[in-house]
Amino acid sequence: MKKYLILALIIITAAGTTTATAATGKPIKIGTIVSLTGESSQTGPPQVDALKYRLNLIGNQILGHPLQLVVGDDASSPTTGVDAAKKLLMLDKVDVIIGPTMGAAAVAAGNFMKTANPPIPTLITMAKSSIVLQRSTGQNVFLPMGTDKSTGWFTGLYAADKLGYKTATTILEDMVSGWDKVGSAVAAFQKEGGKSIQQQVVPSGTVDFSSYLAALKPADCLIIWVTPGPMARFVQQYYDAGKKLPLVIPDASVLFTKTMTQIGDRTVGIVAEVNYTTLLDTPLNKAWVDGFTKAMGYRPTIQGASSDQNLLLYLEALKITGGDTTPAKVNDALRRVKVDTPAGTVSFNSQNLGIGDLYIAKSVKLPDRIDWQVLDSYKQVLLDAPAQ
Amino acid sequence: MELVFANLLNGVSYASILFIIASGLSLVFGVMGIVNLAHGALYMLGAFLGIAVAGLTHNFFLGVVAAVVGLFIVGLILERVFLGRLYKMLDQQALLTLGFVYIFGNIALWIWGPYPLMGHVPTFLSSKVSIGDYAFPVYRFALIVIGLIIYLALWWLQDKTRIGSQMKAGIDNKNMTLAMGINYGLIATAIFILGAVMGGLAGFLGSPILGADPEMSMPTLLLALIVVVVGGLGSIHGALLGAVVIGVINTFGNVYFQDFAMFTAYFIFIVVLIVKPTGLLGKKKP
Repeated sequence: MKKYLILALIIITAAGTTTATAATGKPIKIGTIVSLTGESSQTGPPQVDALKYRLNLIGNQILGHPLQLVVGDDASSPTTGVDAAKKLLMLDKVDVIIGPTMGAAAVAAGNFMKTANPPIPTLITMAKSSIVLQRSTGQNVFLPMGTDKSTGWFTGLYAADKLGYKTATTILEDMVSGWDKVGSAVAAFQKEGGKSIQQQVVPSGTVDFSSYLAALKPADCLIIWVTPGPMARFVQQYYDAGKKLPLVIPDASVLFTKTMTQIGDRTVGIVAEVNYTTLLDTPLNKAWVDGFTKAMGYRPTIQGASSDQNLLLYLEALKITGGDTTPAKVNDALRRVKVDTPAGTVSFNSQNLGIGDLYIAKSVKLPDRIDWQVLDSYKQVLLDAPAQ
Repeated sequence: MELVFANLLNGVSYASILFIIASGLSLVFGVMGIVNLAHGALYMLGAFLGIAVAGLTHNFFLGVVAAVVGLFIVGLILERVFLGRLYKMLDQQALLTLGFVYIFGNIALWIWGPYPLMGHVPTFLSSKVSIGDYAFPVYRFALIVIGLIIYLALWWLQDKTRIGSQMKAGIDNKNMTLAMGINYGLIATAIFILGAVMGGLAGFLGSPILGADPEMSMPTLLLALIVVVVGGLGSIHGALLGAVVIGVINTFGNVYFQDFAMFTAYFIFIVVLIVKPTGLLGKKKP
């Protein structure tokens, strides 16, 4: 018995030594900024888990370099987001930043990182306001999931071309993302011959939508974008008020699977743009969803898929540089990579804007939940709206 | 005309929720002088507790019971263990209750997670009344009725009962009240618990419309404070008037002055503060 125990000990030690010797190079620090607290706190933990899961899959190392994850919390606030970026850059001395996700934090931290020294690569998670790019002075901030305008543009195209809607009424929350998403959706809808007959702008954080619902004009569909808290309230109040216009959302990430499931069957049939859904029917995604769910005890989220995608992009760029983390080299490599990820294939144009796959999905009832199922896709498109 | 009528009803039903939220805050501040900045958090706890129990049991009334009992216990602990020691210490009250906003927010986050949840309307109140093209939910009518019942009950308690008289005596002169053998401590605890229960009840009753999420405490508190200040501190009649003014004007503002909708409530708030700083029905303390 003792002999077997010693043998087992030797094997375990040898295995440990092998792993250790496989990653003796300079550690590479992966920084991430997520919302662990504040109004967007639902998005952060699944993103951290997605990064941990991917790092575990590759043995926490690449090309002999150990990979270390450093997490920063933006507290769903732009100022804290910038503070988190400063800490990761100056104190933790990370080699890359993945995030932030929350819109205002991403704009603030993204713009800070453009002038950062050293100009480490910063891969913003989820589609973002194009002002992150418009104020560009550097070449180190990337938008793999593109701009908010792209989510709206393709939603508008789909509503007019594929769903055959001729008229639309719109509701948007009065913030840059709202104007970008719904504005682009309307532009695309009108380009394809559709007509926007009404636009209602709701203040940020609206709690009671009844007055907007009462004023709603008849149309073929309602294109709406508001943030997650108001979206849950809107959807419930919408159906409670007996409204029946088909809902079209130019970004499904504001209506969580859990929220739809809790509200109930009335949420089945909503059409939305998604950058990722767990029901995406590709072998790569199925394997990732199965593995992640088994490891973490819950299904990955859209935001988690975005973090995972960004990590895969960075790792691929490192392969090109041979593990060299010099910012200029990695930034240049990032503009040359093309990576297959669970969310689809992604690369960048010369302005660091994502070229990837964008999906139109419909909420469907599954045995255990209501989730987004892909109806159609726009493959390998520049994730932005054409210049108007 | 139909739109005006529909919006009037929408505004009044929204005002009813605002009144139930604000009445608890007004009662506790006006009667006891306690600045309870955790009132929005109590509202949030009531919403989550009620949704959880109603969801598990599929019984709306058990949700009401859960919100009431849960907030009774929370209110009792808050008053007896913490705030009872801080009478007339406004700074300390504000800091302590602000701390509880974060504590309760994180407890909610820990138990129910960060996703917004919506309450469900009981089946017998799930029908709608047609007003032109708009279907007005019967549940909103029910909220108007519930708001009125609560208003009458609180008015009766404050103005028509012995406890109400003792309450008011305590505000005017606590020492004299104690010297007369009145157990003011017990009354104060009961009032605070009533305020907490009102907050929790508002949370659950409003949850089919306003939902629940761990970040709702501060926006709810802000709204309740505006209502209380506009109506007049410590006055149940003032809380009702403030809620109706804010609820109705806000609702009409959303439709007819959409560009200024974000500022409507604040505009009224500022105008009232300038013209009548004690609130519409508030009285200057001698």
